[in-house]
Formats: sequence, structure tokens, C-alpha cells
Amino acid sequence: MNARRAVFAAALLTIAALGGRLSAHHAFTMFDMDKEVTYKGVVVDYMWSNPHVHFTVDIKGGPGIDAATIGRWDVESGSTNIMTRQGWTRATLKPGDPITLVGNPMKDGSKGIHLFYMIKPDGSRLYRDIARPKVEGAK
Amino acid sequence: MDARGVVVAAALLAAFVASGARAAGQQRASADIPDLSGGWVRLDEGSGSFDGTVAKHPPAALTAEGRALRVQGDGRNVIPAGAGTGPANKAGQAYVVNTGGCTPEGTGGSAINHNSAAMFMLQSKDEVLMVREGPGGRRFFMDGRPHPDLARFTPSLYGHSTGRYEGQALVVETVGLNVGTVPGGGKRRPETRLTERFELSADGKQLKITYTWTDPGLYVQPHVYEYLFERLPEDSYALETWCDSSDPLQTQSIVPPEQVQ
Repeated sequence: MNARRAVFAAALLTIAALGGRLSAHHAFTMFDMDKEVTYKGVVVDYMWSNPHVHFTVDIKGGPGIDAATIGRWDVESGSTNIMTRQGWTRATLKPGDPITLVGNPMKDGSKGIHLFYMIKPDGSRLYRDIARPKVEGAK
Repeated sequence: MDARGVVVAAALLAAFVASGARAAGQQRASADIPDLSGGWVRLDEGSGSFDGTVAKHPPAALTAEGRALRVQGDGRNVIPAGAGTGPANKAGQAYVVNTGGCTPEGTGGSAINHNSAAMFMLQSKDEVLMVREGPGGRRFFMDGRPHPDLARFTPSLYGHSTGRYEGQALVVETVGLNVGTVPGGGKRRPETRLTERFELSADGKQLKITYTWTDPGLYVQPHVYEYLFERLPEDSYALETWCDSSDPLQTQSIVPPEQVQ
């Protein structure tokens, strides 16, 4: 093993020893994982940190907006490493950004959502994780 | 893992790399050896959701003994069944959903089965290393050594793994795992044998790992499923990660925000 490989391996093994946070660091029974909702709002705060990235979003009232959804929401996403592999960075969002969220709501009606993916203003998507929308016949 | 454990583990692993692995020598891919080295991220082929990805494993066929095998909790799920269906938490009152444990299971993964965290592989003549961007590193002995006597082996999250190349496949056999769960409703114990078959696609850009769990005492038939991975770009590097079980954030999920009038 040459020096570069040794350093690379040492870094990897040290990372393994230090441990880390993964996307599913807890059970999701408090979310209604069978229900998918789409909300449009404005980013209030973006917390790029482990174990899971969180951001808060304000949903305003308007035509066609369910009054029960109006207010400030906590959005739980994945770990920073997993989200980085999906294209997110610590600069992806900033306060004031318009955002469309697709995710799973809380069973108890709290203003919390488990993010599946975000739709950016240009229509492209950023997923929180490796999961992708249903494809019939997919394994 | 507490701070002292982290330091000790890091020092041991660094020493391992500085000595044994260097002496073993890197093994280059060749016509006989598949080039598995580098970074990999698991692929989802459209299961529909996070739960769908988890749930797509074929169900295990357990024997009566297998069904009866008691598995301790994995150290993370502390919310009771039905949680989230009662009164909602007040604003600022976090939903505490985890013990904060810094084990692979405690952080949502598995020492054996990958979730969506990237993993890196490094092949040498005598060992293959598999390390995730999260807790957990595995070592496959390629030097022909046998498994140890399980009576003298302390079962662990990683067990004892030996590997060999069969054509263009890396085949890894693992025993000595502690009692635990297996995707698809399966279970495992130290005597359970896991065979993992690593196979590259023709273009080398995808990796398929086929998992076969064999234990006549626990399974009516071998429990088989596969994961598909995509190779990361060549210049990728492992991202730093960490876990501090004393950090209150490690235990939390949603924190209902204060509502602004």
C-alpha cells in the first residue's frame, strides 16, 4: 500500500471509528408514511447539521390553501452526508427562498413534515435520500 | 461509543493502516480481480418512498425456532407503538425518538446492510476493507484463513468475514454476528452464515451485492435479497461524519415551531 492509499484508508477507518448519523437514525412511526403531501412556502431557517438537517418553512394563506396548513413548519430531512450525495449543500437554501416540499405529515397533526423531496423554482428536484417515486414493477 | 472509545478505536485503526495493511500490499484490479475499490452509493429503483425502499426486501421464511428467537432492541427506537397518535407536543417541545446511541444501528444503519450512506471499498492482497460514511467498518480476510472457533469468538455487529474471488465476483462469508434482525423480517445469530456476492456490471459503474442468509435452525430456506449500488466519480472522497451521544439533538426528531401571528 503506498502512502496515498494508506492516508486514504486511515481517513476512512477513522471515520468509521468516529461513527456518524444516517438518514434513518430513528423510527418514523410518528409520521404518516402512507400519506404524501405537497406544500408551498418560504424558508425561514435552514439548519445544516447532523444527525438530521432541519429547516423551517412558513406557509401563507391564499386561494386553495388549506387553512390547517397555514403557519410555521419544521421539516426534517436526512444527514448531511447522505444529502450531499443527493446534491444538497449547506448553501442550498437561505431564508426567504420559495420552496415546494413533498413529504410525509405527522400523524398527530403537529406542524412537522418528513421530507421526501424538494422541488426547486426551476422545477428540478432534490431528494433527501436514495428513495425515488414509485415506478411500477420496480424491485 | 464514548470519547475515550473513539480515540482508542481511531488509534487502533490508524495503526492497522500504518502497519498491517501496508505490508499486505494493495491488490490491483486485473483480468482476474474485479475493481471494487472506490466509493459507492446504493440505488433505489423507484420503490416510492423511504419506507418503500426499506420494505422491498422479500420476506424471510422463518422456522418456529426462528420466529421464537428473541432479539433485543437495536438501541434507537424508544418511542412506543402508536407514538404520534396522541396529543401533539407543544411548540418547542422536541419529539424524542432515539436513545442517542452511536452504534451503526443506533444511528439508523446496520453494520452489514447498507442504507443510503455512501460506502468505500479498498482492496489489498490480504484484506478488503469496506467503510461507510457513517459508523461501521468491515474487514474481509482474503488470506485463506478459516473462521475462528465460534466458542472462542465474541459475537459482534460485524462478525468474522473471509473472502475469495470466484471469477469476477468477490464472495464473502461471515459468521459470528450477534443476535439481531435482518432485512425482510429475518433474524441472525452467531451460527448464522451470511454469504455476500459482489458483482460489477459490465461497464464497472454498478455493483450488485447479493445477500444470502443461511441457518437451517432459523430459516426454512435461505433468505436472499440484493442491493444495487452506483459508483461514485473517481475523485470522490469520504465525507467526515461524527456522532456525539451526549448531544441532545441526537435523540430528537421534529421540534414543533412557535407559531408567528
